[in-house]
Amino acid sequence: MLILLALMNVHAYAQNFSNALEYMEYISSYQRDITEDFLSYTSAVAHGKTARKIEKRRLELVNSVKDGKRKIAAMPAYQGDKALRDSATQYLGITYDILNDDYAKIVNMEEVAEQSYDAMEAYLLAQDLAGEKQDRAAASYSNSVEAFAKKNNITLLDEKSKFKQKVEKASKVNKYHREIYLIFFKSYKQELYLLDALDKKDFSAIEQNNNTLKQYAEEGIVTLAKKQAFEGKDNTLTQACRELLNFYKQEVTKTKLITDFMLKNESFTKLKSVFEAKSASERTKEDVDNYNKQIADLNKAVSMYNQTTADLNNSRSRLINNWNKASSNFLDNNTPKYNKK
Amino acid sequence: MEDMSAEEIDAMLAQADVRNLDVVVQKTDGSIKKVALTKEKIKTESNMIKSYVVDSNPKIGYIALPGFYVDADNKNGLGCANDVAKEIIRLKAEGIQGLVFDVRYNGGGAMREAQDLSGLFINEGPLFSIKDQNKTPILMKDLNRGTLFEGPMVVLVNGQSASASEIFASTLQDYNRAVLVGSTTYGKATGQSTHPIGVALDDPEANSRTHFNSGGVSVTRLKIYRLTGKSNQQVGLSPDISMPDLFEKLHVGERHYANALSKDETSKKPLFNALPTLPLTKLRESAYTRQQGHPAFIKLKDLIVQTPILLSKEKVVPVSLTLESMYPLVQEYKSWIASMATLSQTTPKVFTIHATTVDTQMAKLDIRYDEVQKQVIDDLERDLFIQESCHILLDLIKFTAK
Repeated sequence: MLILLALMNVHAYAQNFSNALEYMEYISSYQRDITEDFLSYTSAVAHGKTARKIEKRRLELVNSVKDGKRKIAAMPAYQGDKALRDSATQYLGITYDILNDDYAKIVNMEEVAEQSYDAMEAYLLAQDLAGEKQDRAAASYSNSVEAFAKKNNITLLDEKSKFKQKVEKASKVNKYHREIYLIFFKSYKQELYLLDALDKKDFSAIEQNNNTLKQYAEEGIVTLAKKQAFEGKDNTLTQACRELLNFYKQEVTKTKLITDFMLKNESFTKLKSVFEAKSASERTKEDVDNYNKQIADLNKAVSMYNQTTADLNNSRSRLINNWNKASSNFLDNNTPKYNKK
Repeated sequence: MEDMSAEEIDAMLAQADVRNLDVVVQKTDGSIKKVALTKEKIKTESNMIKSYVVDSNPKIGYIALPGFYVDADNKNGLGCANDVAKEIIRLKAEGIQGLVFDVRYNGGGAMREAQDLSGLFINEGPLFSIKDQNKTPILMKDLNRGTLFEGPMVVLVNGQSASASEIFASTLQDYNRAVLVGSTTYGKATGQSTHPIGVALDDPEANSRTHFNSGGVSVTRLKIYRLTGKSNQQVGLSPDISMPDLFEKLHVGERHYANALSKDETSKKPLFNALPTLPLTKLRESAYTRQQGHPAFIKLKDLIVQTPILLSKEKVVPVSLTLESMYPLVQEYKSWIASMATLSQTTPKVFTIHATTVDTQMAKLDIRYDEVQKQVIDDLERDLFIQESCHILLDLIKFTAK
């Protein structure tokens, strides 16, 4: 998301810049607007506003960025120096594309697709790569600001306002939330593949996805163990994630029982047709005893299968709800509130 | 009735009210024999794949795949890869430590099944690429993350392993996932689709059953490339460890067709994480020492040299279609076939093979199933190539043990 830079008390100026400070403050005024809209949007998402209100704030943010980029790009160079203008324009251009999920304008999507397993992974990788590019553009802009200030004898003040503190806190919350979310999502998505494979009775996919789910759940638990509570006190998110990953580990073991049952059921169907094709007089005592044993085994397996499936469904539902609640509570409790005036 | 042909006897048996037929035949040696034929309903197993356990130490599994089929009745579009997966699960329950996967005489089939099957043994990543008439290469990837079987593997191929078999085998070779054993494969690295006559190629309804009433044509739509960018087209896939190819002089293979597409390469060489290299030098040394001293391999090489004129494409000899000219050639051919049969029937058994628990239960219930199973197992135990593949796999397990 948005990277926040040095903020200044600014006013909007017209395009005739009588001095370097006016020039710099013109750009900063747009940055301030964008940052306010970003905080307003983040606050709306975190504090349970309606979807309509969230979308309204998102569009305000998008339009701020678009407007800012257009106005800054139209500025003349300052005494032949266009570095500050150009780096600001580039940074806002990338930010605009990210806000519109238009990653193809920022990264090579063909390469991303080749490195990714599926569309969702490609989306997350594209987000990461675009974010890295945005970070570099932000750093470049920050350097341009310092260089411009130095060249023109402008002293930059490091603002310690409440606004700036809120902006920094919001970034911190989002970063922490995203890290835990990605751990959750990796296993959650893998489980979806597994469930789809079970539904289709695709044994090839069942076994592969089951083994991968075990790997991801175990890796996630190890990563979570190293994660501190947020600001040393809030561990609700990691706790909810850990419970879900432990559930996935148990599910992997129970899936093996489910596939054993499915195979047994299939084998029994074949055995049954052969047994019934034999006339009663042709059947030996061993045939009958063996067949009855198969029926008894299968009946036991059916009960186990039904119970296991029901238990898994109930636990999954409860733990996913638990995660969703923990996620929204975490954002609600930790994201600063902000309404743009 | 007298002087009936085989077709006439067949037609008689096909009649609904005929169950038993006594046939009197005169053999080539002049002797008369009476044969009693009985018509029975035989159940064909929809699952064409069976797996077997080789009672070696450690135990290894064996699966033969005759074709990369899709199950037309499966509503989820599953096919042979799903059936193979089930067999591997059964084999794992029997405690196998390695797997011989046989795709000899497998002429190919659905490319997606080759993708799915390769994915059982490869964790994740690209498998091969294809290029259609637009010439833009498309990367084909593993459909599911994870593996089903991670133990050592040998893939057995021969000159009639083609197309999807070659995709599967070369992908495993590129990943160092399996040792390829046998003879150079067919060399077909193209993909076709069957298209109804009189229907535009881009018609979305083209594959509906009614459209095929006027017949169909097989259209070559794409070329297939390995992860290395190279193609198996015409040249085939070279195994890591060779064995003699009985049909070597028959010149079976794509390169022998005048209009075969040429071999080329693609610049698309995706990054992929191959497994550690396999100890091929040691395996070859061990295998070739075994083959050199083995009477059956020696006999096999003789048979290759003695390939009859009627079959050999090495030197095309004009033949006069007279009884005098043809009779010795036909006798040569029959004698060669008989020698081949004798070799396969008299090759000493080295390993004992048994069916999986499920198939053993079926055999106990059904006499015919039992008879067929016993015959199949006997053939497998005498198959020289399977024996040698098992030896190579056991060496591989030994050489890669941690």
